[in-house]
Amino acid sequence: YATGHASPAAAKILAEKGLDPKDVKGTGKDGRITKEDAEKAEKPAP
Amino acid sequence: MYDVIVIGSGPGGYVAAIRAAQLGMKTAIVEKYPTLGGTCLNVGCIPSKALLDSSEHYHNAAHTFKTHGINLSSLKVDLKQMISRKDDVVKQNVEGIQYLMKKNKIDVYQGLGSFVDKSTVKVTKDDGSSEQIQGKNIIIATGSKPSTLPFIKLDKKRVITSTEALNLNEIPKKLIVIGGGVIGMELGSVYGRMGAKVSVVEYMDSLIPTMDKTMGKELQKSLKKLGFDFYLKHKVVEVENKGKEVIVKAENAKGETVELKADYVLVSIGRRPYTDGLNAEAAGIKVNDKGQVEVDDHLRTNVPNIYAIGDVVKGAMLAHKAEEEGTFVAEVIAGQKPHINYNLIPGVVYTWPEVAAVGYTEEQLKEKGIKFKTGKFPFMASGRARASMDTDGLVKVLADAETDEILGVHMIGPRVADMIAEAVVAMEFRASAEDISRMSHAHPTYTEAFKEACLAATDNRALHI
Repeated sequence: YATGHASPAAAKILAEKGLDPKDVKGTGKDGRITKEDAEKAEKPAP
Repeated sequence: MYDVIVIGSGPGGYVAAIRAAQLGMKTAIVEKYPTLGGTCLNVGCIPSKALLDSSEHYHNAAHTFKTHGINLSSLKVDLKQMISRKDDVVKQNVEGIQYLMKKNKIDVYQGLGSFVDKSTVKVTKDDGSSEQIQGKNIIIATGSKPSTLPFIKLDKKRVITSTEALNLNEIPKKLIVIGGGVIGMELGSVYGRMGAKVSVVEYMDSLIPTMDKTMGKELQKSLKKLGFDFYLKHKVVEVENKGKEVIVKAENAKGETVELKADYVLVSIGRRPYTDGLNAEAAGIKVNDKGQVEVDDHLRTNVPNIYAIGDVVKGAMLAHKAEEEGTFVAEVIAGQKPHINYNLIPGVVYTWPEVAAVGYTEEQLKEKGIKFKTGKFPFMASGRARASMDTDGLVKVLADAETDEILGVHMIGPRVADMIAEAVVAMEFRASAEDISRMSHAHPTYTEAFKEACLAATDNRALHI
């Protein structure tokens, strides 16, 4: 259930990048998306 | 031309102004009262907590010092000093806001702010003089006022609101509190602890009715020990000031009339959004029939450059809710994409024991048809609580029956106003009950009760009960 859940800071960064949390691999406990994950995330190639 | 004009300097307004200034925007704030800080600082959160703290000290001195091995003679309340210290606390906080405005280079306009058009605000001072300022964006943060019932005349002497209850010059012999919500229970406690006989008349079937039912029940038990009596499911039909005495008539569930007499009556049935004098129609802003400014998910009104936050819009009337919205709007104006999870804004009642909650209540989960597990841990079983003799209350954790994710945390007990923060963090990261129960909690602390309740919720395997 927590897999793919973005932390509050990560959620804001992803929203601004236009990324869906589903497309980001979370490295936090049980796959949670950390601020670092969100900062490193890039738009997948179309 | 300002980038942002904020109307109202409460917790929502001044935080919005600071965040806007941090983001490089030229910001002004308009406040009609002589001091900044709004309801919370001047006649709300801060003064009520000051009196709650003082009255709890007195109550301890009168009732538990002897057990602790401290003997006192000629203990008495100096109410004048108590109120005067409260005023000093308010003054310090208000000065703090003034300093923050200066530090962030925010222009402060003292006067009533009203719309001239969608980008012009007229500031009218008490002496009648006025000036106009213009802003690209305007944030309405005009807050709320105590509400009353149509047939109750608030004379502010005997029939009072929270504002006057913070400045009484005597301890009521008998105080009737109309409304069993947060404000009534807090201010009722202040005077109840100092000897007032408090009667609570509440229309609903429980105290603090918006919170989990267990909390209302437990709070009622604790307040009963203070000598409170309760008239739940009673509808107030008449309030009459007879000079030195006030008579309250209420109808019980059977339709019988109950008559109560007291020297003071506190009307605390809620607060209403406040837009008097704002002249919202000049800017074309929609205000609904509850008096709230209508906003979308981005807290934007129907006029695109005008936003509204805090008590004047929908949602819980809490200082920290307004603060979150202030930050949110300033960031939206700056082009960022913040979010607020309204389900994870905690609610706190500063009685003793304190009450605090976040997430869904048991009643809400049942209504939604979500299967959940419950874990409870009473403070009676906490070593820390026994040491301090604060053994009233419990922690109640609601977790998803299948995934174990924490869905709601409800606490009543010592210092839960601060303890709830752990539950907020846990829920923001979607922690399971087991996650919390596998984290070290310092011993002996009240927070161990949260860990134990999580153990109970996970697998019914609490260790200390």
